[in-house]
Amino acid sequence: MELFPILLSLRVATLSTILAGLFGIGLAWLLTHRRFPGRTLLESVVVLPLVLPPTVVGFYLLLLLGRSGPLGASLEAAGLEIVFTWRAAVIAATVASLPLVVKAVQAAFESVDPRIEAAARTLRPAASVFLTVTLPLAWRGILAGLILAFARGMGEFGITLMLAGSIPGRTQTLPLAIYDAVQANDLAQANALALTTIGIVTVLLFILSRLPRVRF
Amino acid sequence: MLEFAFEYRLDGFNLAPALTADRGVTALYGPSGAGKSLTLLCLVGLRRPERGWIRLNGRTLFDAAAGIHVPPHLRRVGLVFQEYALFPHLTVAGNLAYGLRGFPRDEVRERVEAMLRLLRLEPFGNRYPGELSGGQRQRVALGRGLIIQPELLLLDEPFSALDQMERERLRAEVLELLQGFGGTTVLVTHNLQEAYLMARQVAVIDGGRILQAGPRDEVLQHPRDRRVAEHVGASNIFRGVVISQADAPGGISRGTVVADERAASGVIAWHGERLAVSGPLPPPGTAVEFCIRPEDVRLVWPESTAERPNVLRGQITNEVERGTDYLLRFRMDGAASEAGDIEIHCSEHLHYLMDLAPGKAVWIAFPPDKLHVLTPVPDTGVAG
Repeated sequence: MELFPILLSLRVATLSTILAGLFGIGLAWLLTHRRFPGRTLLESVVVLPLVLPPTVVGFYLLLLLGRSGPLGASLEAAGLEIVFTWRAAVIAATVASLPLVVKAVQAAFESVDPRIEAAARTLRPAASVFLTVTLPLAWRGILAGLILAFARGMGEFGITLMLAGSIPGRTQTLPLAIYDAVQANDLAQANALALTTIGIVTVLLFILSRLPRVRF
Repeated sequence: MLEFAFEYRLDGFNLAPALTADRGVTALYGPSGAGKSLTLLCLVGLRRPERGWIRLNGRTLFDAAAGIHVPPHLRRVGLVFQEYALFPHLTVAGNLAYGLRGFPRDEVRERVEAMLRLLRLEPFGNRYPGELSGGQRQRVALGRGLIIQPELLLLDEPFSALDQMERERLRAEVLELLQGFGGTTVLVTHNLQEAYLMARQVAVIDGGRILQAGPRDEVLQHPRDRRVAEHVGASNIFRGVVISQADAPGGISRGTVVADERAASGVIAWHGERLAVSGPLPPPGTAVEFCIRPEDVRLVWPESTAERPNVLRGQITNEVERGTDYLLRFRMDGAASEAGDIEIHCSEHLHYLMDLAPGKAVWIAFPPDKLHVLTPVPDTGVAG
């Protein structure tokens, strides 16, 4: 069995989970704690990758980040190549899992009694309240969101294919390698990779189900 | 000393309270939706008013014109929420220590231990709020506010989540704890008895405005206008016309000269009666509203009606037994409708002695010093 797709997928999913976690928690905090113009618009845009066909999302990311794209051109000038590299796979997975993180964390933040946060705010600055009250009270929902994000990162196919391609040994992630193996009629290889995926995701779901329930 | 005057708008509600509160407890008393809790949120800095200022012991906490808005945690203001809002994931000690961020570890431990002793919660330092009783939680909430040694302590309906017995015990406990606190306390309550019990100063708030503030007896006995009178339970509010301002022996409804009459500074015509009233009155001819508290209305034995001023004859139309006393409704002879009915609180003892019952004819008297003239409510004028 080829190890490269497994290692690449693990790396991509880990990095995309970190990125989606950081952006997602920030966005969720904004959406639950602040009123600002365009809030509903932002909320809708964030969940778009969840409802749009992955190829559509991938297509516009390609336009945005491609060599002639508005963002891609300046990134390339800075020496950072995105499209058809492993970085593109990370971006694809991040975009795909961001809505899952935002939704899960939003729900977790909303479950925190605002009076408790207000009481904390009378005693400490806002940043400290976030770290010592909001996060600890919402951690279970946040962890659930991160695990979903990781699973989504492991399984990302459509956006990755559009943005990173399926270059064996460079950008071919686990799902793409399975597809490739099936196309090449190498069912044993496809089976081994698929079983590996099932194994990783099962372990994650097991961890998720075993998260201690916190009684307050 | 706490002084403030600010304006805050929220969904069509216009909060515009102004108050000066000295050291000691001031009760912010008013009905639900009066703006009490919102006032506290503005004072602690969780809400930012559009206009005005807030000063605490000479320190400006907020000044819209100068662009000053001190963040909540730097105001030295403790806030105790209605449902306590303890941190469920921290122990009692952790809750108490929360506001002591940045202090040396030893000092934090010392202060937490001292606070636990004061709250009589020494064995509970390592417990979580979910494991405490309502009263214990409330003490923790109070301690969490006090441990930062605030200059101002705000209590938002601190007893409303408790049952009656616990409430009375805790009022006494909180008063005791507050005795060691040298700062200003503002207690929000919609319970008049609680306001009177807990505070020296009472500020009556409704519709986002402080209607009257002052020593508790002053507010209770001398409500400024009809709105305050209604809020502080001076439920007998009448409308009459001033006849004379000066001390006039002929102006008393029953002619005998008595001590009360010399204190009288005027006479008000009301329902064909001439009522002696002590205290300042507007010029003769002015239509005025005046009030008397139900517990200040005297029931008079038939043989002593001649000795008292402001005696009225009528009958009891209704009575409500309230456990320890009675609420009576009295209608004057000749009064057509219940509009002029007078509410009287009467002890069970007196009720028994006078053999009172609905339909019984009785005499009542308004002591002139208990009749209180109200100033007209701004804008709406004198209402019937």
